[in-house]
Amino acid sequence: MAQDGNGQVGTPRVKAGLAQMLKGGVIMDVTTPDQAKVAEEAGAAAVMALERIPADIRKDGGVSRMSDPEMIRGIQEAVTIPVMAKCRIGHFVEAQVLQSLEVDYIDESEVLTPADEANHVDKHAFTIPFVCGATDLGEALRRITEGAAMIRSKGEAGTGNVVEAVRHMRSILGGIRRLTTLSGEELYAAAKELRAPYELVAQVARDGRLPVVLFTAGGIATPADAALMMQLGAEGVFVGSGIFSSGDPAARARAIVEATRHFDDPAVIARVSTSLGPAMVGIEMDTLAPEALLHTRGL
Amino acid sequence: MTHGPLARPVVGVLSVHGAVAEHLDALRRVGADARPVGDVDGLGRVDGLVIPGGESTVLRLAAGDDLLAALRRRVAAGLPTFGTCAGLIALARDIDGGEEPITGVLDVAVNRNGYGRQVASCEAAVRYLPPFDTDGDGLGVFIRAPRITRVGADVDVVATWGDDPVAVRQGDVLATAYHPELTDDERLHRWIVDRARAYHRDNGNEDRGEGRRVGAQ
Repeated sequence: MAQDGNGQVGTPRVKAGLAQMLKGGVIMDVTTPDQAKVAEEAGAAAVMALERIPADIRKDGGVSRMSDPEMIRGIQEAVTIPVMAKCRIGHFVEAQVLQSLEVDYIDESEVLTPADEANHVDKHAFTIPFVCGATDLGEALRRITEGAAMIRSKGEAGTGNVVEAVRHMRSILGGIRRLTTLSGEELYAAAKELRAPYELVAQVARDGRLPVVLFTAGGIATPADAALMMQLGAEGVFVGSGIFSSGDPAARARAIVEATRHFDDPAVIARVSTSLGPAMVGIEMDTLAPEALLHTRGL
Repeated sequence: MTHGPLARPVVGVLSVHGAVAEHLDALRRVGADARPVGDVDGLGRVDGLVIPGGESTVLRLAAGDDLLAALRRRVAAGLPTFGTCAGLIALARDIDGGEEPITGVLDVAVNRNGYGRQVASCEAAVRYLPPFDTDGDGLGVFIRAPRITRVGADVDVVATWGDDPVAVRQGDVLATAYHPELTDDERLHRWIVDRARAYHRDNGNEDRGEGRRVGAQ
């Protein structure tokens, strides 16, 4: 962008700033340029380009990887809103590839098969910002320490079941509320328990919020699900399988955008929930084998 | 509730999506009674308005026809307004590529994401120009920023980045391609609060049913 060569790219403020601009919005998983256009025309704030939606990844099994660059380019050309894409946890070369494609955000995602069981990507090393999933406050703070510029709940992607997203948002936000009640000397022990740096823990305790934007993801399938997560304290919503595996994707996409904007107005949520056609078929958590769970990857 | 001419002016932040909280914080720091504005009633109760950054496509689609119509009406009728990034697009008369303008009250043309994708987003030194500001330098945070490609005859350039105009003003409408709400530079938020105070003094607020406050000192 540096039109006269004086711009500083990839600063923390610029990385976190794009997520701040997405607040109150809906980020939708799309697998084709046509779906991306449907999402944009429904009012999506950004799209996540991926080859298979999580519900299909879950169904098909096998190793799930970064998408074909050709497919990502096609989506970039189809829309003007930000385009995100996923790399495997710890797969810094997939992240390098996504940066070279100039995606706007990289999701280091548990939905793909992890590439490294011990380490996440060093996200400070990139100009492109990263969003990472978290199930609790400690996990969120560890990802921020590694350079994540945006956090989302993990939920349990591809299930159409919001229960894990609720658990994770309550855990993250409840963890923050608890930190704000601790005395100065108690913060040292809290940092140890959270397995996160003391300075970051102290900052969250002082501010009463994460230093980056917190979205929700994983199992959101209906307008009411989106509004539930916003009322719980999410600053925006990722919808994965919920839109394009439903009966009428364009209408559902639009309805979830409206419900996210008017999350505290039940009359609006009632109106947009009317005659939407079938939601995606959901999966009960206790029917999933432990190895089928995605949210336990990359803690 | 009434506000005298010297009370804290009511400045709304259009709350469809985007960096609403950041602008509310910045406005409160410079003495405004800052409120999120998400519907026609709320828009009727402000003496100044900020249109925050976000995605202009979302603003266009998610605001709703009633709110967009009220926005056009109030901004065209002279409500002091300050737009950042997507807010600049919302105010611009021409959008490159032939998109319909959203309010069209500011006589500039913009190229959406004209400086590139996120990989090119940056912090850069901007220079404020007299008469708006005689104190020179500031910091611009540009995020997938729109580029101003034409400046109309009645539009003042408020700040430049290199040779490019990046902040412009036409009467009581100010817009930036960058995000002052992400820095501690308060000068543009002071401007909208000052203009809102003057607007209240000169007009009262008919939408609030307070009648005119002509000549109040």
